[in-house]
Amino acid sequence: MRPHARANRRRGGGVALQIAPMIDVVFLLLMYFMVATDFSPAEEVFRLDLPNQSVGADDPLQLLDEPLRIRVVAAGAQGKQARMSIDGPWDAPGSAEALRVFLYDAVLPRGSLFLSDHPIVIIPSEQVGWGHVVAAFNAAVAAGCTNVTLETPS
Amino acid sequence: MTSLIDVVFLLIVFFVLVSRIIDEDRPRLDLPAPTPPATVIASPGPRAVISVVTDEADVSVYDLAGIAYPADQSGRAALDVVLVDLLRRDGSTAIQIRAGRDTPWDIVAPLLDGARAAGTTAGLAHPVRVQLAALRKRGI
Repeated sequence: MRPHARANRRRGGGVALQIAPMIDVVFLLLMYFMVATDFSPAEEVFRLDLPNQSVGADDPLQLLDEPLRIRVVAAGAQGKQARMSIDGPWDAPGSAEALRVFLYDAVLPRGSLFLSDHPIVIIPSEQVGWGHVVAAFNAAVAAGCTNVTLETPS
Repeated sequence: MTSLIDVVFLLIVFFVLVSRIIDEDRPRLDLPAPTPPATVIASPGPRAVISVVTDEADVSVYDLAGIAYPADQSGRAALDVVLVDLLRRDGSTAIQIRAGRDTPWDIVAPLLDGARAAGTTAGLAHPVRVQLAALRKRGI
């Protein structure tokens, strides 16, 4: 039995609450949760598979779907803005969100234009910011498209 | 018992801090944060993280494992050699590309070409796995 407990018993008092160690532990718990909590946004990724350059030569009889081409062109005074357009008879989406809605409504089973694995090619212009390219890519993936690629200048 | 709990918690805090310092070895970039995000958590496994770092003078370099490669023909050629070597050692290595939202596409695009070419040179039978880094903002 600890000395202070024995003294308490001799005095006829009850069990005393040890305030100082409790504050120690409470502050340590507080510190632990503050350190462990990540307040910054999480870094995640989009997956993109780049096929081998010789893949097309393996099967000369393979029929390739005509991809849906989405162009992202730099706009604005310093090229900080971007304008998106879709090749074909469709209106240009005013924003990445409008592009997402268009694709979402076009893909089966909601729409009748494409299957979800229909190839979608995003073609950015040279000076367009990476953020706009990623926004277009994100819109296609968020709409449920599973075959999205980026076309490079070369 | 209290002292033991004190020490254990101090150890936990220490290791959480150390693990965070190790995780901070990549350059800080203003990554794109699209909404609503369709990003996924990067799968575990080997990966080569290439960051496009632009300084105040608007000069960009490709940073791979702390080594800076100039964003020109010679730098890309040197980077391609490293990527081919990595893919030859382990074909499942993912190439993660990190670039700030204002980085021009013509700086980032050669990295995709380089990754594709590296896969071809390394003789991979499957597509090169590429990851495009973006931020997912957390809700409250």
